[in-house]
Amino acid sequence: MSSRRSRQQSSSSGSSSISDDQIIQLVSKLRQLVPEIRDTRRSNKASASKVLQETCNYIRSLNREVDDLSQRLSQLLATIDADSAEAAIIRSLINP
Amino acid sequence: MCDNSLNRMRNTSSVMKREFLRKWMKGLGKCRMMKNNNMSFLERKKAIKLSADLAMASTRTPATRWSRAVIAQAASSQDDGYNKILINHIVGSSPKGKIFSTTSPSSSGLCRSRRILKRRHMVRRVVKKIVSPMVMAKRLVKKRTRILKSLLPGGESMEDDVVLIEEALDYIQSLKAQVEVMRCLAAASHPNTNSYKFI
Repeated sequence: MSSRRSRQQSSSSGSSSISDDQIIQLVSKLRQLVPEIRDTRRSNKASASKVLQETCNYIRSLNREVDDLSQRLSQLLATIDADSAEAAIIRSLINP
Repeated sequence: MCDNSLNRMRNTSSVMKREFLRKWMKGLGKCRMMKNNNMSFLERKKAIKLSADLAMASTRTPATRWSRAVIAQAASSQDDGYNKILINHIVGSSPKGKIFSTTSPSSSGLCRSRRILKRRHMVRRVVKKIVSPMVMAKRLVKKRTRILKSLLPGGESMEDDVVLIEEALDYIQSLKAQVEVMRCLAAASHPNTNSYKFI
């Protein structure tokens, strides 16, 4: 991915605003993780806010899913039993 | 170029998932021993979730701040007695100074930022100033950065936005792995499932 600006190393650890280069890197990484982000031709500031929004939404939905799965697993694993069939499967997974 | 990093992500992901599963089951086994299987539905759910969260955090500790924050939050929580025992069991003994740093609760930060934004919004209406789209966009970025900070464990104490984004990426990757493993276990534990298609 080529950047139109000269690539500058983010040496300033004290900077509190996100540079455009970092936005481009972030977008490419996030696109691999979060499929909802589309490429837009808007200014970098506008796409940064969209990226942030999608990131926040994604984190929220993942947390919700962990909670739902914990609930479902609590129903399914009536006893966290070391002798059940699930435990055997898990053991076979952990020790390949 | 993008392919290499994606492959690296996939390979480390399966290693991480295996380690997560091992630690998670270890934690659950400890819960079972402590409560002798007499757990209510809610207790079990909390045990499952806490063990999972701690197991995932321990695979990324002490390299990432969010993982250290998760462990610290669990350690300082006033909840049931087995928080600390679980932490020691899953995470293992570690230098107290580095990991058990206190982090402020994230919810108050979000409420504060909402209140500040409300006040700003009212002022803007009264003054009737014309705000350029660039300034609006910048404010939106600031607002959403604050929300991200509140969502990320330990985010409130990260002043550098670059660190915040890097931590958020790592956090998302770990959460995804955690969800995928939990999903597999749920699918396999379901009485109607024939195929045990894991990782």
